[in-house]
Amino acid sequence: MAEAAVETVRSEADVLRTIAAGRGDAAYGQLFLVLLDERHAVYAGMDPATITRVRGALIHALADRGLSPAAERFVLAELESAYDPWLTAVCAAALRRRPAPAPDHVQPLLEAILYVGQRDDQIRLDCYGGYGDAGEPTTAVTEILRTLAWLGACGQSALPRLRELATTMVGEVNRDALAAAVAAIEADPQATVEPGCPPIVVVDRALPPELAGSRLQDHAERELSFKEFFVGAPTVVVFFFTRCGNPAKCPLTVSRLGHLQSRLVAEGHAIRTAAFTYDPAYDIPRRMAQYARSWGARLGEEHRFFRTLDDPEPLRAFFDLGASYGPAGVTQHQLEAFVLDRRATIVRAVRRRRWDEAELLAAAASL
Amino acid sequence: MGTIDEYRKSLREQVEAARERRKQAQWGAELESLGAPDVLGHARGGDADRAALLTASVGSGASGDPELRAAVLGGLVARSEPDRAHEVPLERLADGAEHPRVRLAALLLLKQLSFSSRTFAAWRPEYLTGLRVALSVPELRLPAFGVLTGMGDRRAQELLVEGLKDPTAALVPTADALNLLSNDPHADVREVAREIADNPPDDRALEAALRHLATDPASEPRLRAILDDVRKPIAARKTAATALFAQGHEDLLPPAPPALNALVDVEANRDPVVEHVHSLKRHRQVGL
Repeated sequence: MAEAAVETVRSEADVLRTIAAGRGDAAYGQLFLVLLDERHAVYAGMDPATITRVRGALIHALADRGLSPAAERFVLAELESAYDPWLTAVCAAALRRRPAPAPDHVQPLLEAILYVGQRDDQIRLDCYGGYGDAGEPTTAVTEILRTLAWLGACGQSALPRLRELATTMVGEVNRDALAAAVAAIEADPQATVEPGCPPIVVVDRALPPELAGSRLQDHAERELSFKEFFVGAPTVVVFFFTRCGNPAKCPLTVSRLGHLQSRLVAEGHAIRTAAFTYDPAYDIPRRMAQYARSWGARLGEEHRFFRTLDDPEPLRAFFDLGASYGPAGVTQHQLEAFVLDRRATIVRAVRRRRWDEAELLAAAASL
Repeated sequence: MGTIDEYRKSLREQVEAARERRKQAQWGAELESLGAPDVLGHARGGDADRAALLTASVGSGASGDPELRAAVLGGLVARSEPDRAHEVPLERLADGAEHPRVRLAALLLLKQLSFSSRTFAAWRPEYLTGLRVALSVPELRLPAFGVLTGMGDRRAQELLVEGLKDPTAALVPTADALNLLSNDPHADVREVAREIADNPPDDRALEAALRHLATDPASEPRLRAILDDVRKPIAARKTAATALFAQGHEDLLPPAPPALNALVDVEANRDPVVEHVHSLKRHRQVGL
């Protein structure tokens, strides 16, 4: 029933009906996870505010019976690029529904405090969308700090940062929550495991003919085919769009690309980099070049920003991009990065988490 | 001839309205300069001043005059510890029993403090809550929405969009809702803006809708139709021209209006929209 149901969910109202029907029912867990995927048709044409409400409601429902490992990935991804206070608070609270804390939870929680701390809001977890009268009011930072306290010994790597925050955090409620988190972590005597990094995913997807000849335009207005740039040398590929409103996503992606490019040049690697825009109609070459420079990326023969001039679907399908679109353009997207070999075959992928320069460099250098 | 006169009249009215708005915005909002006596006439310096101001603002001896209480609020903030200056204005803003003039003064003071206060991150949630409470008061709606949309508040965006889709739920006029939503490029109202452009409730709403459609390539035919229709308001036709220009369509000159009477004042036959298009082209040529 759930498999058939996923095809029929096409609107916010459909999602809410599905959640109402399946909340607390383990059989619906997989359906909720499918609906969280940015590529699901329910998000086509949906505006960003509605997407936020829908995703928050799905995560809230998934946490009802305990958060599964599959759901945890979505929660950590939202925390790593925290933006909306209610959605962030829902994710922080949902993490406490894992059977046990883990050291890997620390970094996303600390990033969430960094990004949402300056745009926090008073919300109610149990209200759809966060605003209403049901339940106790709370804030995103308060929920993040509560989750850090829940980590106990697993949160030890957070202590330096939390002690630093204690010297600058203002507001009685948050100061109390921060003190409680530090006390809970320090008081837990259990031995800890060092946080690990989720492995980079091995992929083997060859360049399809319909994409090989498709036309691209780079930041300098030069036109060329996909294979002209991507065949011949390993390439690291990231995605962005200039109208991204989340500083923890595209601006940070391009900034980190700049760091990676500097390492490639300094260490003499014959590895190219490419940044594709999710938004080719709006991101004309001049805008892409300005964006790259603004956020510290290099531009040159081996390091280019691209947009597609032909139908973007073959590119989206090749990279299996995690993005959705509305009338005004991109409405949401994952963090994702790829490594292509000399034949432009995708050999590595990082999805739904922040990529590490060292891991992409190691993967590309080994080709 | 009538068209030029209407345009000039409209321009005069807009200037007068802007002058009136500037007068109102200054009321009760200024932090007093150092050295000036406070609004109660007391010399500056010391806790006695602050206590007197607090009493005059919110205590049992509070003045019944909302304008005085609004002015006192500014003096109180100026004399407060920087990290706590927001406290009394926050209380006033969220107090449903307080006079709208005082609440507006509080809102404007808090807006200034949101830039200067080092503790703003801590009281931001309470500030947003107070602004949302203020939305229930007609006199406070536009200023509160202005602050909320400027801060990218999702809830404010949702309320405005709801009002555009269902006029019975509208908290502000259509044009104001569209203009407020333009503060956030991710507020996706193109669909609604198209419908409003096709069937506008008033001229202001038409102009506001056209501004939104400047980034909508699919609206090119709609914008051209408005530009070419001399029966449409001049301001709307100019906005359509600007929108088309922004989309890269520089072949904009509308058909020449018929020469109504070659013997009358030449100025009467000049289409201000044609002049506007020429102006856009000149600006593009000099790189503006």
